Amino acid sequence: MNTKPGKRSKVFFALAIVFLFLLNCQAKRSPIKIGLVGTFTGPFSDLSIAARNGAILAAEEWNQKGGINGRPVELLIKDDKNDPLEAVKVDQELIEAGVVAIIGHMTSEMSLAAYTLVNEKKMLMVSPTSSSPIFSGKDDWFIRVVASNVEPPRRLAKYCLRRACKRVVAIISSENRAFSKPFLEEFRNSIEAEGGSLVLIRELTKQDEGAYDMVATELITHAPDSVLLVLPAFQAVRICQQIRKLNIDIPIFSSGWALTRELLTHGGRSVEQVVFAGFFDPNLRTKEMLTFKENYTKRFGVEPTSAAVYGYDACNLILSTIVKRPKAKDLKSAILETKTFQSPVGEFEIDRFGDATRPVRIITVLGGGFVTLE
Amino acid sequence: MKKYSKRSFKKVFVLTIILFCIGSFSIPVFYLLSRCYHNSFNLKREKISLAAKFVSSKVEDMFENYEKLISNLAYGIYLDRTGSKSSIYRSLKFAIKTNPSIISLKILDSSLKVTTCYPFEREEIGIDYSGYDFVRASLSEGTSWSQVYVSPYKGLPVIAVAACFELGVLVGEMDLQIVQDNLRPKNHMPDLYVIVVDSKGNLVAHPKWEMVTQRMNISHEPIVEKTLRGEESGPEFTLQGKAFIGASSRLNLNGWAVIVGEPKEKALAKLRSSTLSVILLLALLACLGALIAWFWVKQLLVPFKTTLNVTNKVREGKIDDLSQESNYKEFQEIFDSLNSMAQAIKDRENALRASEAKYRDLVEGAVDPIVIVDIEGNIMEVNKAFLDIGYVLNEVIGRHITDFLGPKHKYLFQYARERILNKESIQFEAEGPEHEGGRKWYSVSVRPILNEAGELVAAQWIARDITELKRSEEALRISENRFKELYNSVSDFIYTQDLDGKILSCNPALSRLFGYEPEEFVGRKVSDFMKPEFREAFETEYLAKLKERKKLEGVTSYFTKDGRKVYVEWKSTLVEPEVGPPFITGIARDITEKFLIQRSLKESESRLKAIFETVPVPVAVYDSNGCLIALNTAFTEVFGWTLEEAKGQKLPPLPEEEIEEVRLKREEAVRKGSIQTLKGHRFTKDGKLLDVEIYASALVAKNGKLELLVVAFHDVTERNRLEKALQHAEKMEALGTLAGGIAHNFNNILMGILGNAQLLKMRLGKEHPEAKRIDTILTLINDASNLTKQMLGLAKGGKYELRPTDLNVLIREHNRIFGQTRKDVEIREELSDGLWSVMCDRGQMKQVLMNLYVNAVQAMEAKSAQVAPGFERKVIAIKTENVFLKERQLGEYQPDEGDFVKISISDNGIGMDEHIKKRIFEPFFTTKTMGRGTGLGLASVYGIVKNHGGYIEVESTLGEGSTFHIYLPRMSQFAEIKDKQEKKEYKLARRTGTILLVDDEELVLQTAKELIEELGFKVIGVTDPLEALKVHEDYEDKLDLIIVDMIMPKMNGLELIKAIREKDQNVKIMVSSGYGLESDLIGAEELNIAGIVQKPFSIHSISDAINAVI
Repeated sequence: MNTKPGKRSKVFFALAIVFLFLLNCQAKRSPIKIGLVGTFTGPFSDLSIAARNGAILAAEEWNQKGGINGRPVELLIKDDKNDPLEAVKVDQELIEAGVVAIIGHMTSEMSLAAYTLVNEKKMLMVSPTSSSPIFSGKDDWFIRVVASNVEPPRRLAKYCLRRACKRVVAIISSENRAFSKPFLEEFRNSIEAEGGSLVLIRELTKQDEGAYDMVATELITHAPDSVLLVLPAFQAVRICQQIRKLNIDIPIFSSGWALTRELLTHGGRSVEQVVFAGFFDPNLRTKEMLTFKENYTKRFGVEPTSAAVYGYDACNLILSTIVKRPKAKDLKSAILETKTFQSPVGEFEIDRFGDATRPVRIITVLGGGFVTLE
Repeated sequence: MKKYSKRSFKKVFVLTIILFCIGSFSIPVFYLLSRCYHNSFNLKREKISLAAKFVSSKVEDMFENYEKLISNLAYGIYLDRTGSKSSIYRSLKFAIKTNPSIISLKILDSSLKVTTCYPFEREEIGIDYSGYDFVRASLSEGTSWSQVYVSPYKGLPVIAVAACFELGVLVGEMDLQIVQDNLRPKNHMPDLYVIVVDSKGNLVAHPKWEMVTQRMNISHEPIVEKTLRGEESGPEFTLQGKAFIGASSRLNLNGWAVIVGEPKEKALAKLRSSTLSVILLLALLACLGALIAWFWVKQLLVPFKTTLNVTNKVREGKIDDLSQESNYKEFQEIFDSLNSMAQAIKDRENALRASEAKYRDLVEGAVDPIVIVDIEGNIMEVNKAFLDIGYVLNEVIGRHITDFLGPKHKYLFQYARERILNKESIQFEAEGPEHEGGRKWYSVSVRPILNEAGELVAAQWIARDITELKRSEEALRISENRFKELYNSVSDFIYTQDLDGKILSCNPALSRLFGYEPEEFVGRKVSDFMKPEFREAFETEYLAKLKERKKLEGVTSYFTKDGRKVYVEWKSTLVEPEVGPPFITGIARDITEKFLIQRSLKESESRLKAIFETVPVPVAVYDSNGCLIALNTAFTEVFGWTLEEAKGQKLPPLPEEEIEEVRLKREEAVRKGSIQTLKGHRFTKDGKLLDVEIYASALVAKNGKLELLVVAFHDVTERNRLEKALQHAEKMEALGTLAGGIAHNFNNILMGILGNAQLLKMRLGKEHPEAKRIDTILTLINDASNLTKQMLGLAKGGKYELRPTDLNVLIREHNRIFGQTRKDVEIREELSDGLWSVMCDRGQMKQVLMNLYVNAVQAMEAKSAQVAPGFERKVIAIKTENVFLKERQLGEYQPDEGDFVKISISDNGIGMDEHIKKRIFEPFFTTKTMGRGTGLGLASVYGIVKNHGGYIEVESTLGEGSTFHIYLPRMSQFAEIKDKQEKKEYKLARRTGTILLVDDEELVLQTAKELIEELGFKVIGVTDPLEALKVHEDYEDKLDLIIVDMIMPKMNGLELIKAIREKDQNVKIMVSSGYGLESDLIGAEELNIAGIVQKPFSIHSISDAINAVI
């Protein structure tokens, strides 16, 4: 009869081990949650959707490879509706949901709205496309995989001058001032330094809705020799359509904000030869880029543009760092220490303030597609 | 009480009964239940699938209706084309009012720009729709559906359908929200999901509206992927991580996918809940059954318990009274049997005691000491003989047996114990303990003592005194060991064999040599280790002779166990003892190393001799006096001397100035002992001086004096010659490229000047007072143009207009003209009949002749002025002949082997020294005074000849004259010789037509444009090739000619022509270049180039070229 307690303890011990094992399996299989925020609805959604799709592709690739240490990656996608209050609300929801980092926001204006919250909560935010220089040089919880938009306006101004364009009219969007104002300032400084001038700066507001033809006519009354657009693709397209409707063969320059697939679709011939300054080389034919293009096109039915690459890079940056970092190290420090990251467009670097460095390209539209000029 | 770890019969019995009770009624119930569940599930599944298919067809109908509506509307507009714009507008308005899901209608013209739209938006009129794939697709397909896109004007996701009709394209945009509402599930199936995706996987409709507005793409979902491929799916599938029951289908209309289904969880919720209730009821019944079974079984188990008590008594020896009563017959039989068993045990115990007493008497009477020990070795009993050794019984009993073994043999107890435990006997010898009279040796035999059951109870040790026997054995062993030591330690081999050659014994040295253990070796014949072919000789030569001579010796090779070959020197003797059979004894020694060294030395000597003879470099060996003592075949081949001729002589001879250097090197070789290298020259037997690289190695005696000197002479004469030729060729190549580049750019500039000057001249007229100055400018341009031609001649690929040419005809014509201008020069022709034709540019060939003639005349004039005053007879001799050139026949060049036409031009001028001769073909190298020569004459001759695949070489003797030999490759024998040289009269008749002129140089373009316009053509001039492509596309077939510059930065001429040819095979294209054209046009035959024109072109040359083409 002495054997009974022994047997019981053995059975109990075995059950405890099985329970712990199952608990462990459960913990291992619980997903790694990453927030993904941007403006996914409305006319400003093109950039965000491309970046979102890039991030989705990256997450799906990681999951296909077995996830992060056996745990699947789950993207919690939230729409900030291009509204600063909504942006803060959705970020708060994501933090409460236990995400390890947030990919977003996609415009500098929305990122600025979320900036205070993420720093207060020490929640890492990795923006694929917010390129305003107002975030540069700050030791914060905001990292971005796109470079600061300082060099593109300078390069664009130089290119503009090389095309002998010295009287430029600029048209900017009221929706993303955090981006458009610094871009315009840099452009103005550069062009004025070389003897050119911005003869008009026109801001597009909601009052102009349905009257873009009037705006286009207003522009040319200032006898410009070129037009600068600091607009998202949907607005850029409509302005280009109206300018071309006036039958004026005037050079049009644009910030990289409009550099999306929608520009080509909705613009048709009216956006031919519009010149952009951005960080993306559409002519790149490396093996990595071709593979990325093929996978993206297969998954989403359209070719990727810059925002898609940045979305992909942002997600990979977070996940690759989670895999490599020591357990004790927080994600932000691990990213800043890693510095160099892989991308389909080649390696890029993140400095100690979380700002990326990428080469500037001058791009144009030719034959219905983007072509690198410089 | 002993506890058992085995399972309890009681528990098993109880459980079996319980399980039987539960199982007998629960299994059928389970079966019935599962059948019910599956039937209900299948019914539900079929119902949902049918509903899904119905909804899918409704969705398809809906889109089909939209498409028909747009197509019919377009047709209606076409029929009403003569009506006013307002009537079209009314039609659009009506269509939208009656179909609220259509939010806008737009009519596009043929250039896909909006002409009319409803609702009217001023901004939208005139905008370009060419960027939309579906609009472009409608032009070829009639109607086409868009993917989901966000309207830039509405800011909402929409889908659109475009219908192409005679007046343009009608585009209808649909509000996805309304489409979504139309697809919302009806009341009878509120949980039905309806999902529509476009052909790229973008959501068109989804129960979660934000999924559509956020333009989510679900193409990766297996059900979507499968459906878009055209494969039907269902009735069960997974979508966005949820299990569904439903169906999917692909719309034939636009390739979209419709997926309709109900979440499996919801669909089966009711069914699952009723199943759960039944299972709970069943479990309750099972528990009740188990309880009843338990009480019943407990009653059955009472007799088993009683049996267990009886058997426990038997085990404890309480067997006096085992009688028990039972109500069951079977159990009563068991109790009776147990009682009989106890009586039998008592009888056997008594018999055992009697046997034991008998055994004791036997032991006590034995002579040898006997000890009985228990299993652990403790003495239980001893006999009298043991006590007679001198022990007292009380001191012995209980002691351990090892106390009576000598210290060295105590271990034997363990050995013996193991055997005893295995119930085996053992015998061994052991020393006893120290006792009176010293230690004694015993032969001990130990055997197990078993009881009746065969179990081991004790062991019996019997010892016999063998001390005396042991002592005599030890003495014998010591003596034997001494001999064995000697036998084993000698390094030579000692062996005995029987008369069949079998080894009877051998010392370890011999078996070691063969790699065997002595035991393996003994008994084998030594012939087993020989090569099979020697084995017979062993029998006949060895055994037979030994029997005859009694003694024999020799060396034999054997193979050891590991396959090694060894050589053994042996001496064998036949021994015939008085007792026993005769045998062979012998001694042998391993001499393998000595043998191999001797053989290797011989082989090494032969090898060295072979190397010495076959090495392709001449090698000679000299004694300490420098006299040759040996040489190899290569030496004879290169220098000509055989060993017989050269032995004892100091050969090969060397130039006087190198003797001292050679002496120093030889001393250094002796001093340092290393190989010394030296570059120098040596004469051959027939007096030829060779460039040689010398490698010398000295063999120095211990006293430091030179014994032998081995010298290799590497003949590098040919290599040096080739290196010089290569350096020259590379230099000329570089200069040619430079000159070509300069000439190209210079030509472009000349083009501009020439064109402008000609235009000026034409506009001012011949009567203008400044007309002469323009003529002067034109003449100077002509001179400059000639200069660039000279430079182009030098440039790589700088030849054009290749034609089959009879050089004799060309030379005669040239001589005639030259003779008229320089009557003081006599030209002697020696032109071969039947001279092969060559492919050449006749103009360039004349330039070659002219340059060489001018050079010859200047050389003769120089002689007249400097070397030989009064020298007046200036003769240029020109000779032509057919030659076949073999490799290495042409001085420093290495032409391909083949037929060449050779032209030799000789003069009796001043001639050249070696220094000038080396540099005469370099551009800008001249011996003339500044201003008299450009230094390009002979350089261009060199370039032109080389570009024709030919070669030029010069022979010259200072003061006597020079001869230039030109070799031009023979033309293919099948080519026709066309030697019609028609001088053309340029007619500047005005023409009409359109010409596209492409040249990246703005200046050149403008000038050429004006020149061609002067001829009457309309000229479209562009500097950008991409623009040229656009012009070509815009003008379609209205272009009569395209003139393309070959060298342009973005896209070169050939690339541009290829791009044009991809679209248009008919347009005539001419190429122009300031550079040589031919090499650029290699492989461009399929481009159908109509003509070429060399820049700079005059109005005449361009007119001529255009006339030839159109």
